[in-house]
Amino acid sequence: MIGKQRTSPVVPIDQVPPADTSPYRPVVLVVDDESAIADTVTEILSRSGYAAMTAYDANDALEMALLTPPELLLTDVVLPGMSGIELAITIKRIFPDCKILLFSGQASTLDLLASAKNDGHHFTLLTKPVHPEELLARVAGSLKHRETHAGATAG
Amino acid sequence: MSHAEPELAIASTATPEGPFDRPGSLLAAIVESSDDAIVSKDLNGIVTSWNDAACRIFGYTAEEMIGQTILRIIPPGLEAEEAAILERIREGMRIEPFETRRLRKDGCMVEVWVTISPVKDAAGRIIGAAKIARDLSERKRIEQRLIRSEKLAVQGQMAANVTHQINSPLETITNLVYLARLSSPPAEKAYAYLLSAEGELDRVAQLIRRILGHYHQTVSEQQIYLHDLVDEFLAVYRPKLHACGIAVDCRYEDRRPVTVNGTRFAGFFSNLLSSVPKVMSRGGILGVQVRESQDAAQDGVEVAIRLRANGPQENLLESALETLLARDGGDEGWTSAQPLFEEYGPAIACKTLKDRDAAITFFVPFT
Repeated sequence: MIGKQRTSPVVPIDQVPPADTSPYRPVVLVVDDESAIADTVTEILSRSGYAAMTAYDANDALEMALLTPPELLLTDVVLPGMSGIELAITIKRIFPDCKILLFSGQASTLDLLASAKNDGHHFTLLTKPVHPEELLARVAGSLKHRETHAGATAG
Repeated sequence: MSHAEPELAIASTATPEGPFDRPGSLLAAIVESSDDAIVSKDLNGIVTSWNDAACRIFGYTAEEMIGQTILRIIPPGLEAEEAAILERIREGMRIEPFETRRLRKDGCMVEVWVTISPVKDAAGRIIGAAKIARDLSERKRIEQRLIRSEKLAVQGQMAANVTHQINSPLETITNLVYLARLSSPPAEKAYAYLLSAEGELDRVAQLIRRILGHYHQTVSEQQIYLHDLVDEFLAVYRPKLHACGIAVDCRYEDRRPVTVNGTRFAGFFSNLLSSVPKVMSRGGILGVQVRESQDAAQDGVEVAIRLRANGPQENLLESALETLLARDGGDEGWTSAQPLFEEYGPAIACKTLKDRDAAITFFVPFT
């Protein structure tokens, strides 16, 4: 089987990987104004079988979400313009089933989160830096219910 | 030489009459019950009266001081101050209240706020001076504590700001190293190197999380096993301790959680463990024992920290406490144990067992 690291476009016919028998690839929307973080997180999620999309601000993220509804929104809290929490609340209004994971490296976000909680919005906050394996576990955990549900429907 | 009695009849002993049957004795009673030291002296600086508060503040009894020179309580180097005061009093000049130091009988210095007024006889001649000295030690202590807590707050704010700046690049590096490792064949050396790099990045990440945790001191009280906290910090600091030749000996025998503000204890352990290599520069053993109290009267968990240095180490305990309380404003100073000491102060016992062996124990009740 061909190694993932090879990029040659020419693949011998006997080495062509079998068709993906599991078409279910949860759509995860990754939002961070630090493009290096957004890009690497997207890459990590893609390698783990998610259909990950990247946005660098909340407006772009909303546009993308309207085109491809996400099953999970993974967003930084402090973003230019609309904050990650406002984005999460908006996405939740449009797609009530969308799961939300917030991540942030700023202590001040705890205050923002507390204020959202007072308004009845409960979000999980991951504190940066988040190790990729922990991030993957959290994403999988958030989508668990959905996957089980999807599996049952498919079966 | 006889000394004229000041106009204000300041008595150091009870009068034979009733306490308040004449104005003089009322005044004497007020002087005696004052919290401030009130003493009088003649123009040669010889003490003529000495109240109870003066005994408490300076350590000398009235018998020891009356008839003696006031210079006994003037610290070396400040004799000129007393001479100048007497000079001004003789000339009938006013002396503005001032802050100064005085020498106690036990040799300690005491910070005082002094008000000096001339004492005149019935004919209006200046015959001496009355001095009121207020002990400033407590006020100074409070001031120092305030300065320290303000300093810590500023340092905490700075550390939190720096942490925020570090977080993003650290997240990116962590992700890139992870992706690089996934792209390396597991049999190659690069894979092992990248795995080690991830481990080190994880240590940095844990420190960052701690710092953010400390900054948010508002975290409410929670139920925790103290040994879990100790363990968490040892995971971070153990490599550094080992590198400094310090062995760690842990014994966890607590079976019940305690309800505490976790971040405060986190600050304490973090400060302790990061300061141990500085305190035991030649290596040694760090013993941490977490157990339920052996004392039937105390229902709670006891944390005993033992420092055993290799080779003689002067002032081991003092250095440890100094670093713990971050009096020197060291680099980890802002994570001071000060709030913990303030909350559990009476339950914290520290003792030096030998010149190279010190113990710090504190107790947290199960409430």
